[in-house]
Amino acid sequence: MKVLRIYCLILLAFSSIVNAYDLDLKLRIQPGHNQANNNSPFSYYQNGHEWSRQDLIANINHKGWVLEWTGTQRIIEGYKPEYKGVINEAYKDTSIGNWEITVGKKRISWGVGSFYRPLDVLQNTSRRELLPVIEEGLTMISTERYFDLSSIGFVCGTEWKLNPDSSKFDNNRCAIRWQTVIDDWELQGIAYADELTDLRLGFGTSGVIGEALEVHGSAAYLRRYQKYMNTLLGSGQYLAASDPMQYQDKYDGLRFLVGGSYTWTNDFSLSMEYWHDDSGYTKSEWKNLINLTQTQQNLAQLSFIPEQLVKGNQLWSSQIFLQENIMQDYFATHASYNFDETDIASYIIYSIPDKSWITTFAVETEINKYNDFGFGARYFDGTDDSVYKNSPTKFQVYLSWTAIFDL
Amino acid sequence: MFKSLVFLCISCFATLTLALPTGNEIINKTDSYRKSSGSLRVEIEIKNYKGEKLDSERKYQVYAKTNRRSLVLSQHIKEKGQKFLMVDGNFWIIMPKSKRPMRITPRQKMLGNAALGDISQLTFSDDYNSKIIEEDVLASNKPAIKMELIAKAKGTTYDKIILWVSKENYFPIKADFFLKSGKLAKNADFLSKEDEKGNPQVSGMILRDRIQKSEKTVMTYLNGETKEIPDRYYNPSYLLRSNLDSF
Repeated sequence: MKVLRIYCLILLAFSSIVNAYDLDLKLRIQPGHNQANNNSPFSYYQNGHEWSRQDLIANINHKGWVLEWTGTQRIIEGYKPEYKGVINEAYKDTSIGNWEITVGKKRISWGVGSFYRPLDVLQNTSRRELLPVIEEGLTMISTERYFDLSSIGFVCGTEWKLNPDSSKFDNNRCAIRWQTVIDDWELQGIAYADELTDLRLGFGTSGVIGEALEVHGSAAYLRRYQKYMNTLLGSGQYLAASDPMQYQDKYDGLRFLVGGSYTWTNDFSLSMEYWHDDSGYTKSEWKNLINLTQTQQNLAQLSFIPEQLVKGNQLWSSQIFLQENIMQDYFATHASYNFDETDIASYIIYSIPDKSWITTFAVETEINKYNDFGFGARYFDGTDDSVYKNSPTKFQVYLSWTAIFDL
Repeated sequence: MFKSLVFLCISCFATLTLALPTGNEIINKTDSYRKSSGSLRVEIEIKNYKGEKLDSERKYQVYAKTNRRSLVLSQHIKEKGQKFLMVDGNFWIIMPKSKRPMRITPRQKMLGNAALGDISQLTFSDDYNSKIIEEDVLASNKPAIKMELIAKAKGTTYDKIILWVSKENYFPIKADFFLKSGKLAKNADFLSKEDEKGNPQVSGMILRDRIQKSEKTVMTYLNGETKEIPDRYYNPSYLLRSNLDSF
């Protein structure tokens, strides 16, 4: 009886919150299959495995207060289910005189680009994941001053460990951003500094030419940046007893992106982007890593070398596939078509130095006002010894069902 | 002689007083039935039909201001937080997930049954030069004036509009909307209602797609009010803020 009373009280409190605040609930169920690339020296799964990711997203928005939380369940065949809760955003937007103030944890994106945003210096999120990324905001304080079609803003923040298992590290950072619209062009300039990478300066623009062509570009100079390298390379050794993948400091780096999109009258749209990132590998740096990993694989056949040691080293090296830009230069093309309530999209991300590519196809359709259904597939390929030919995963397929609850 | 002179004077006077206003003057009056003040908020309901079957419906809040500025906020549950901004022929869309305003082209704003351009555009006079083609025609069995509206500003939704307005009070009756290619894209019948003072107002439009001929959109202006909106709301970067509804 006592439990029932508590339950009723919780329900009552919940319904009061729902009535008083603008609460949205979204449920995503996404089962899928990954086929392992058995020919890859980086492969840590054999054959394939089924997986499923379920996300419950709650969002409250009330008079400038925003709170978003995501609860995730991950199931991988053969492993125990994992549960994780993340506060994506928790902030307050308010005004003091002519200044706009934000305090709290908020997602920020300043860059232009579909596949990569060099100006996302405050926080960066991969834009090429198969499933929606569960983004965490930056814990920050910002102040902005808006004029008719321009603005200037100052932000300071840190990726604070709100979640105990968060892989992010504290890195205090500050940035200034200026933005304006002149005729058909939007321009922005940024200056950024943090404890790890010193100073970054960037500039971006986007505009429209004629009726149907949109173009954009951005560039950032990095006084100090980091490259994810295997420290065994150049050491004369082939196996490490602890993780040899380390970030190494480099200086005077450049990141830039140029792109555009064209839309036809039948709602078919084609966009293309090229980008460069000095943090990525050159062709020879990649060649060195794959040669090392192939050598490690060959060492496993020697009876006096423990198999676990070799497997561990391969797994450490495979972390390179978690980097946003594995290589320095990419070209991507994205085609999309919309009819009725269905979106069809296909895109290819091509790594230029090593001639390898990722092909993705996705369909999403509206079943009714509250439910969407989707499916997609991704295939990795390329020339021999190239990055994506040697991806630990050969292909991925998934289904998705999204339900929105009107509370 | 005197009689002839008097007759001539009366004729001249009558001609002068009965002369039609210019096309642009008529359009200014026509606009006043939809946008009664320089700065206003209006709620718009869109119902899309395939044949006679209701296919989808959406609601939008539109905040329109002078100098071709318009902000459209989607009210649909799946599009909550989605905003569309038009500033003097430039367009941005803010998707809740993207956390950044994205530029869109004039063509992209025209896609969909009721294009964003149809929703955000509450006046003709800012975007089109107007001239009278025929002074005495019938439109929906009413005496009407047939007008031709040619785009004068960049980023207009349509390149040309043929508009029929009531000869009595210049209230819009129907319109044909043409693309840059010269193709007839849509036609519209304007719906009317009376305000609390008994004055006629445009209460909506029935838009018929002339390319996908089975598709029809009923656009209804549910309620509107004069509302002073700060200029900063028309800065694309400002639209990322969550305290937008506090004005």
